[in-house]
Amino acid sequence: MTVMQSIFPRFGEPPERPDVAGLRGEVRAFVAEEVARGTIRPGRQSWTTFDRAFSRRCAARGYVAMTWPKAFGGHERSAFSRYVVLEELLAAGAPQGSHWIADRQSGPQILRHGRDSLKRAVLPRIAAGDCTFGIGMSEPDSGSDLSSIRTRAVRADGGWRVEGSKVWTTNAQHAEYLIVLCRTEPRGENRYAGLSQLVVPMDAAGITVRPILNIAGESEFNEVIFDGNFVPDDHLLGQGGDGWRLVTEELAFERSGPDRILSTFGVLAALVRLVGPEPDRHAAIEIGRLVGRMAAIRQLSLTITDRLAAGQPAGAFATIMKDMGTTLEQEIPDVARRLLDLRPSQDGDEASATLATAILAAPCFSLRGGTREILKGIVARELGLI
Amino acid sequence: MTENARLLDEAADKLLARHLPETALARSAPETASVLRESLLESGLHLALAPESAGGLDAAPADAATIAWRWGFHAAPLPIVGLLVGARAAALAGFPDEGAAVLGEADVPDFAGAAFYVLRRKAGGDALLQVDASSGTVRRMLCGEAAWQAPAGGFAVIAARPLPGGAVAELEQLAALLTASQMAGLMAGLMERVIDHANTRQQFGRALGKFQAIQTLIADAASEQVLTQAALDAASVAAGRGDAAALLHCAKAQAGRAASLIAATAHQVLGAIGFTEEHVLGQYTRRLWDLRDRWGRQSDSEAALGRAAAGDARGLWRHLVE
Repeated sequence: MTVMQSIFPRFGEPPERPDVAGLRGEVRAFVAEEVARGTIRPGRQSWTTFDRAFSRRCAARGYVAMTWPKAFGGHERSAFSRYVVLEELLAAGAPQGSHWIADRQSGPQILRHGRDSLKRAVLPRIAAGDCTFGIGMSEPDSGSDLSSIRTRAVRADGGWRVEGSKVWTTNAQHAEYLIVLCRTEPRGENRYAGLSQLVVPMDAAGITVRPILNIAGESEFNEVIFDGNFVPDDHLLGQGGDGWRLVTEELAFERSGPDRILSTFGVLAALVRLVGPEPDRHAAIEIGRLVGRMAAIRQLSLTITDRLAAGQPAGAFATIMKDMGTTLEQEIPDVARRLLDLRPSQDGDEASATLATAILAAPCFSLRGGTREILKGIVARELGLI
Repeated sequence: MTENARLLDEAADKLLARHLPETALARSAPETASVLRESLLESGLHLALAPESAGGLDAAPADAATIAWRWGFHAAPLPIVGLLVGARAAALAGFPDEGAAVLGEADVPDFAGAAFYVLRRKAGGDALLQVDASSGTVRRMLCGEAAWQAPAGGFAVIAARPLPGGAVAELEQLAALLTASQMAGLMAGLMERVIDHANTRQQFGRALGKFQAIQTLIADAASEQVLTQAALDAASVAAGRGDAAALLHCAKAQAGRAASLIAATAHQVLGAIGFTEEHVLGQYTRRLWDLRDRWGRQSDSEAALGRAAAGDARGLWRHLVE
């Protein structure tokens, strides 16, 4: 018997979604301004590209913290409206690295599990586009196996002191905070117990950030070394010791959004443009296969968004969506390469730069946010195998 | 819509529980199809999509799709999609209800009785043709059932009646939705059997499902299944609002892609036993293979999506989301 719930047949009413035509128009006008300004350079950057000024302008338009309570600087919009803004900005290739992680997962995590004082101190700054967060999960010896992390926090007067290191932390060199998964109790029989999430201020003494160049020659991710830096008491999320549950919950938000579908949308758009309005049957089938797949995965992503917004668990759906979305993101440049007569070049014309950027970025799509192989294991467990 | 979907699903499930034999060989016996067809017509369930004026339920497409889903879930014989759409087509054209299946003209039609209908688009207006089955050849198709093949020189038409404008397009879309739904049901029934087998069959001292290679196979198959459900859900909601063409191509293309992987995975996991006629597995996989290219051939659905995307002057993004 399949453990997993079914999406179809549907026995309930479809969720009400607000009319977003006006909202899409607004975001597109904003994008046009930013392209003219030179902030958005199609095909030459990604959603992790850091640009604080751009994030502030997004915030000024109300495109950050869209669903949060107004009391914390949010806009109390629907999850669907937020989805629309995100996908419009992603499709345009906007550099959202400065606020992305804070808006997608760190802020919501603080909203759900943070102390009031922390919420008041941090959330309005995120909402204003003034605050960058990094994800403190992976470590040099703990990639997919997060339960084996060794970074620890020990009790100090009025808070904690952190010892250890994190790695592959995107935009840590710009971050005001990292949410660090660390051990607050020694590892016992249950390896998932005794972990906690701390919101670590990056301006404290005792933290070193070392940028790491990726294969494209960019330094977006980093190694972060904690050498006794202080974290105040009220920066603990949850009750302490329940970090595994918190981190699992956080990952559902990390894995189900449009950012797991659209990383190479620019390549697909360029492919369709260059093939022209009357493709032959071969090109039509290849393009249709990708476009249809994108539409289907987007529907799954929207279904998950509806469920999360209604407080229902997304279960294996988010894991499946991330795996399928990133596989599509990786397939797109390969199909484009075979259909188009161009040689990818990072500083070539727009199409060849877009393709080169995508090819160089593609390997990380199925690594970040949980490697593909680990995701398949999670799905197998949800199916009732093992 | 909620209540109707539930009622139609339960009615179909009950009917199949009563009349569908347990063993694979009994299921594929011709008597089974006749008994099922008779009890379907007797129950009136085949009239789900027919208008109320013709004694039908005028069910929403998404609700009627549950019947096809349940039919797939049990890998039951009969061209259920052709029968459901046929009853609506007959009513729209003013033919009496005889439980005849409807066929797309470009399709390889099912053989489901002495007479059946063919949809035809004509310059002068859409029409429904009642066809004499003896004017063609009957072939055994991938699904294991007999189907009628139109002879090259045309076929004998018993009667032709006009359909309201746009009816052929509407009926074809309905058939595509119901076919994808039947496929989703087949996938669900198949995946239950696959998972059950993986958890019970022991090799090298442990259950198959404990082997990581097998977990990966099954996880991939389940992922395709979930994606099909999501695409189909969106298409069925859109079908009720009348703007479903693109999402239907998307759902049918996805269902075809999923069918290939899921059928291959099922055979790989169940091993040689699943490859025998006595095992029910083949009843699922043969139907999935057949339905991939019925009422919207997989490659035609993909080509239609590609042409529509390339030909949209608004650009790909607006094409996708508006």
